[in-house]
Amino acid sequence: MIAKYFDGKVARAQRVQVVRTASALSIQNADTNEVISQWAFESIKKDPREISEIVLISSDQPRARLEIEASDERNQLMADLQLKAGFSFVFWKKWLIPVMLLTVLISVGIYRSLPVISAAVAGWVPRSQEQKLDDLVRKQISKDLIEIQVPIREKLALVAQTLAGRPGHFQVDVIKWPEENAFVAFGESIYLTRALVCNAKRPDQIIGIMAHEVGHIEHRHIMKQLARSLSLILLLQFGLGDFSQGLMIDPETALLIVERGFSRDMEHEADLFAIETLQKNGQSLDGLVQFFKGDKSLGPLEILSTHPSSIHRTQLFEEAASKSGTLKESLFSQQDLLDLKALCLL
Amino acid sequence: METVSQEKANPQFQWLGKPFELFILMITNLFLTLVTMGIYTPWARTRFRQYLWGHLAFEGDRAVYSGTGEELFRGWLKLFGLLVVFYIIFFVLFFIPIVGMILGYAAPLVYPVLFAIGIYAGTRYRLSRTELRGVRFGLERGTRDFVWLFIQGVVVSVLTLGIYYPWFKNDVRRFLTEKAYFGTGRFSYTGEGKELFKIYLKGVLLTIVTLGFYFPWFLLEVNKYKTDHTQFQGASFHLSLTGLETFWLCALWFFGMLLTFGLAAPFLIHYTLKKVTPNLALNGSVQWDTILSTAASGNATADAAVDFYDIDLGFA
Repeated sequence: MIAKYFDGKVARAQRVQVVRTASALSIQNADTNEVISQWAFESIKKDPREISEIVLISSDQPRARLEIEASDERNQLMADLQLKAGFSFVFWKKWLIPVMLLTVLISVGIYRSLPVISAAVAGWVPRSQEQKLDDLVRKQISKDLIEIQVPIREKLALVAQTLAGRPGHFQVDVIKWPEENAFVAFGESIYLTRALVCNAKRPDQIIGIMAHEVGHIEHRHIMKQLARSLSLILLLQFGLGDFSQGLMIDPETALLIVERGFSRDMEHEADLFAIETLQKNGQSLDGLVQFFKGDKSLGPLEILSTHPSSIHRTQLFEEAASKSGTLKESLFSQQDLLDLKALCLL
Repeated sequence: METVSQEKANPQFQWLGKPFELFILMITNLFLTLVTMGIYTPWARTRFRQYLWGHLAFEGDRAVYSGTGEELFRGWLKLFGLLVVFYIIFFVLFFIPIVGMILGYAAPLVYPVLFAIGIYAGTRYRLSRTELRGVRFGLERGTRDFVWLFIQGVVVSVLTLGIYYPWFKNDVRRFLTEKAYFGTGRFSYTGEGKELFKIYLKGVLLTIVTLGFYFPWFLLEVNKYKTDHTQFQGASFHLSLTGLETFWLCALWFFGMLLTFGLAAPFLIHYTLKKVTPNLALNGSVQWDTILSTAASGNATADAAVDFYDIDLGFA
């Protein structure tokens, strides 16, 4: 058999004649028949680094390798040495089965425990420290904040305190954004958009939306979201990060979809908090119903959204409103709303 | 003694892989990586490299990737542990008033250092696991010098609004090339920042004017310059790919990946290597008989870091 032989010492290939003896392969110079090396049969194995070529190596000479051209003789030699002649494109090892089962268990475990982990992290960070992060946010958006008169600012903070059911350092601001929306950043700050304030027709819309935002604050959603995102990024980066050869999975898209699922859960939790606190304080839910009836932006593509669909939320609030008891005096009066809307003239 | 790979006037590189084999390999890697939630990644990466290296031939002699999945897995575990500890410390310290502020400012400065370490150590690992004709490649120790070179390059490039960038890239290329070796054989680099700057200036301007169409030609010119100024034991590398061929390859990758959601990747890799390798040559006489084997170096944690941060080694 003619073969290519590398001795592992010098950067050259040698053309050799491979001769079978009773117990070994004799590797000889193809021209002079000078014996270069003798490989005992029991020392020979296939080079595991080769996926689609058959290369023999020997424990007698660990750095050397022998590339034998395909032939019947070679195949016979492989059979005699009980070496698999096939190639190994599809990799399979027995240890993959327990690894796969363990992976499923671990994945489910981690996924299920993410809310617990994030709640623990959120609970560990004091609100005062979270407030410092809000100061950073506030600096970033300061040019977009609209000045509100002090009495109405205090009134809004009092509404937030009442809805939270505890004294706190609640702060409510209005921001110059064109969409009708509201959000919380870090700490106990609520931001209402100018469009929301100026388009509000009734005070219970403002109260209802604030109740929802207070729900986010009371459940520490922002810190939980931060902890969840960090955990997920870590998991996905290590689990699915290397797809330079892995084709079509984009870990960022996977992360986005999973995070949006969490986000929808949090929005739902904030909605439930709003219902509970509004009912407890004898406030009307009609404002929220009217608000979401007017928003038809989210339909069947709910899975891609950070929020539950408006249709579902309207149903939820309508159902809750029908079960509400006697209403008390509104926490935020029509006059308060008019005072707040003074900023729309600016 | 006769050598199969005698010195030739124009030694040629070849890609011997088959597209369907590569496809099966990559699909298997994808499946097993997914079902093991990434645990299989080191083995997937190793097998991919084994196939790639094993089907790249120089003068008919195929290269060998000698890294192992186990080795990469251990490196990956170490990196994972280090990063978890780092993130926890960072998260805790971030909430301590003054320390948090200092960390906030220091973090962006640490990144280029880690990046440079990743590039150097990762290149070192990969080269040390690459063999041709039974002889290993390698990269000498030099991480500290490389980090300084890298930081200087980043700082001066930022201060000069990017004008210094070609000099920086040229210095990085020189450093990596001149530290690289194949057994007892040495690589050298004769490129100059000034020349690379001219290519960058022309490339950036024409890419803007042509709304991006010139980019493949720009890419080729940069790689051609770097390749043509790299030598091994006195023999020069030469890249003879044309601009039109590069444009075709870029277009093929763009539309191929887009229209098949990435499934065409193995076929595109195959086509690209098939197209590029015959255009690469080592011109000149190398006394292969005088090149002897040396010991291995490099560690797998660094290799995991390189892939984790998706660092482009830029080693064409």
